Amino acid sequence: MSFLQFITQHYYEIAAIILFVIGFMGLLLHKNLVKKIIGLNIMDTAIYLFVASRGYVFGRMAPIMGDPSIPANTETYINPLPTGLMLTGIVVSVSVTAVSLALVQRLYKKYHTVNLDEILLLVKKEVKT
Amino acid sequence: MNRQNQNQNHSKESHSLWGRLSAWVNGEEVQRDTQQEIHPEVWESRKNTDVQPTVGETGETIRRLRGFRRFYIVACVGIGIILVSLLLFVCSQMPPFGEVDVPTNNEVTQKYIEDGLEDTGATNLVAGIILDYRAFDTLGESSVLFTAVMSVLILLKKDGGNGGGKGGGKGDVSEESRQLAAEARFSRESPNIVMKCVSLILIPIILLFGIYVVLNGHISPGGGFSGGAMMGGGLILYATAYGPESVKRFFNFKLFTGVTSGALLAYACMKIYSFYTGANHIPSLMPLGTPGAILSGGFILPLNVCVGMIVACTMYGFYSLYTRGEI
Amino acid sequence: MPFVYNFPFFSIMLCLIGGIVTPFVRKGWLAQKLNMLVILGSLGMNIALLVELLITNENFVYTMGHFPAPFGNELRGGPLEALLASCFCLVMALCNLGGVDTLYKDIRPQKQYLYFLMTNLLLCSMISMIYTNDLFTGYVFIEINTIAACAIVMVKESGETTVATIRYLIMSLLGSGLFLFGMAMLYGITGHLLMEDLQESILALAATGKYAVPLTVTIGMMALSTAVKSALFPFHSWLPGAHGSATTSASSILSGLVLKAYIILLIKIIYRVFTPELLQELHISDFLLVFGIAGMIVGSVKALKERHIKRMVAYSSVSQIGYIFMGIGLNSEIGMAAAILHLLAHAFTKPMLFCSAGALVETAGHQYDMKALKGSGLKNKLAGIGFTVGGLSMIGIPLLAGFAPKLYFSEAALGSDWFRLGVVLAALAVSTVLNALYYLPMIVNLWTPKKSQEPSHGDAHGASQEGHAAQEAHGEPAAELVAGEAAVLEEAHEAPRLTVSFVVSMVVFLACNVALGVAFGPIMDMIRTGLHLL
Repeated sequence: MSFLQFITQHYYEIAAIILFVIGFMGLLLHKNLVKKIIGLNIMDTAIYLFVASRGYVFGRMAPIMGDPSIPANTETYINPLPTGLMLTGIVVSVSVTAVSLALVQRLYKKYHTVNLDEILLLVKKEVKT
Repeated sequence: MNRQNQNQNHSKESHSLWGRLSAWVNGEEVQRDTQQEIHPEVWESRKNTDVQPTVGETGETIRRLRGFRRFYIVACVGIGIILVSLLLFVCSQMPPFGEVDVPTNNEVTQKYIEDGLEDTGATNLVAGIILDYRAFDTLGESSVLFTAVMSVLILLKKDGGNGGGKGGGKGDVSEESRQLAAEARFSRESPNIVMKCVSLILIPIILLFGIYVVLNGHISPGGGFSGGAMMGGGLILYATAYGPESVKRFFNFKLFTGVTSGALLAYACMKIYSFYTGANHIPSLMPLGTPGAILSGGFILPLNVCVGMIVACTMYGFYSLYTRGEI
Repeated sequence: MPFVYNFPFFSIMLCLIGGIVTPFVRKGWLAQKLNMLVILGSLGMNIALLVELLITNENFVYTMGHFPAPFGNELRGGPLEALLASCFCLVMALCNLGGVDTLYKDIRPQKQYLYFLMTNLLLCSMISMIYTNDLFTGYVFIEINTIAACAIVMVKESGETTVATIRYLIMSLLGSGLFLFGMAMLYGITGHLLMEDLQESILALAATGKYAVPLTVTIGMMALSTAVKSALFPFHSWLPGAHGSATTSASSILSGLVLKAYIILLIKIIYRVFTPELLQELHISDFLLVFGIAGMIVGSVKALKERHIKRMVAYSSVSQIGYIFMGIGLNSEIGMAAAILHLLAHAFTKPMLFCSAGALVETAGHQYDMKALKGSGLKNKLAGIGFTVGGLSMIGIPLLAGFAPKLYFSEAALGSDWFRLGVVLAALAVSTVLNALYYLPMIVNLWTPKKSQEPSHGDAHGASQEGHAAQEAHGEPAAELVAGEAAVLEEAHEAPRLTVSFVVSMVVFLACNVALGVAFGPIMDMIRTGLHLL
């Protein structure tokens, strides 16, 4: 398979994977907790893109029937399962983001910084005293 | 690049053009640069911090940290490069995007599309899948949301003494007043007349549209989550324009827990009924209705209403807890 | 279908509803009663199911809804699942009983009901993860488990726990992200989410050699994600902070159960999706073996350096998780069974260690340091006995829970090749010696009386802490809290009293420990039957 063929056949997944790694690196490299959480969100979104791309078929419609009297045909609609799964996944990611942002806010109120290294230093001092 | 050469650069001439360039080429920089600058005066600018390391100690620890950091960044970038090449290679072996002849288009998909309407009574096949075929996952998902809002409640709800201004007693006055001022900014009415007028027109539309999306979840795109998020947004807009006190007149903490837990309880009870009857091969008494009508789809409509209520309350709850630490 | 087969579903829903109605309760003690009721209810149901399944010796599937799998969701139970779920319920009940005294002191009264809410949801998610037959259901309940586990750490609301929580949360979310990605790729190449169908198509793929690279990477990702979440060696850095700083019962639950739930999910995935043979072929199990052994050694060495009692016990968890992964990595049936037996032994021992450590710390006047704890076993004998027995069990003294698994690990290694046999036996020996090196000094320390003329170190330190806190109080509301706490603990120090719940929990823990140590034969048989039926 040539490189060009790879790009044309997989451009959706390639974008998802690049986003995933961007998010992953953000999560690992940033010391700012808010940026870490943003990285995490990018990572999650990339996975949702990836899964949604698994269900898409060129030329088919979203799985919502306009006229219920016409019997459904597999040729008409894309695969609805990945979409449904990712709806669930999105809610999960919203919840997780909410919890982590609340944690960051709590830490900021106490230590007046969102830098993880500084917070760790301050906590070490606090525990010693 | 030559690692040792570059390390020397870090300590001495990281401000020079060459130092920065070599760091940039190594892909490590941008933030370590600011990091170097920020540390020495970070402690000065933060008088309010309760535990303050002495200068000498801080310098020593930070130097040690920086050494670790340098290794860590290089390691991370390495991991990133390996990961991206690995995943791209994997991706090139995967079934192509958008084709018909892929493993995911199997008999399960066929069943969902062809029998979905008959089995669930919902013309929105995705709603049929998440609220009827695979309802256990979705029950779990709503419980995740519930767990999250309860965790935020643990962290941010003010009840005397936790991070908030109230009940702290003889805390640092300036710090406390700063926090109170920040909270007051969110707890008063907006002085902006334009905001008020526009939101007066917009809020009913937003809420109505949210309700429409929730009620039509089984026959059109949307559903409990999206509609609920809209309704929550409407509530948040109302709170910003007219102040949370005016929201409190009809939406207080008791109502919040009541609606969230009550709706989730109703959700769980409906699903327990349908799981139990399904597993024991008892026919369900819930009629599916005529497809396409608003009163159709069996449990999907009431479930969507429950999810909508949970999500609307949760969204407003998040906003309210983040800004003021109470609902 | 016998009515008993409804019980997994009932116990999941009971825990979920117990969690959902807790906000209406709003009182700590009432929520605790509700929580205990819920746990005992699920315990009873799971034991009934276990008895039934051991008699009939079969497994079953339970359709969640009107549509059979692969269209709908499904639960699947067998003797092993029922055994694990019963043990989890029992340990959960004992953890919440054993730490309840410190719990009411550590957690603000307005938030106590939320702690019990989270434990209900935690149990719900763990039972679901044990019984699930669908990967996506597993993912959703992993997320509930993650958030609830973080919540029971941070509910203590000190700076230390909040920081520990955010590290824990970030690591866990990384793990769940990897799990979801692995699942997405698996779905992409097979088109299934149900475990049976997945296994079928994976075996077909492995036979034809199609999609070999994505399959390998997927298995690696799944193993990696569970390893991150259960703190296998290179990913263990979050564990001591979270387990060491949380309130006593939260530490016990986290180390005893939460880590194990992911391992059980991994074992289920290995057996029901990828098959051990494929794992062997792709050398994933060798990786698990290597990192497991590294974890055994590194965890023990780190524990050896630690003087903070709860952090020491937490590092010991890292080493014990290493044992379990070593068992999985040996990739023979007996190795897997030994891993599960060790998992149970650890689930009954580590919470006991944490609960008794919590009580000893209270006795010594809220001092965690080894020096300050000197002689505290004499003041609080039951907690001292609990810690001693737990420590000896972790070292692997015969007649206690930790002994039998090591025996079976060696037996499993004997079935392997010479190189592995040597490495595993050496690792077992070294790790046992290291375990003894850090548990024995602590145990001896606990039973050595302090010199009477020397002023009590704990008192002096506590007083100075109070004075210090008073000085600092102008700056920080939390400091006041510390002062208040110190005062309360000072009182507790005067009269260390045993509450009924603590005594019950310790006695049952000790009984279970001895039972696991003496009657390991029948339990091992049960596990092996269960593994066959998995």
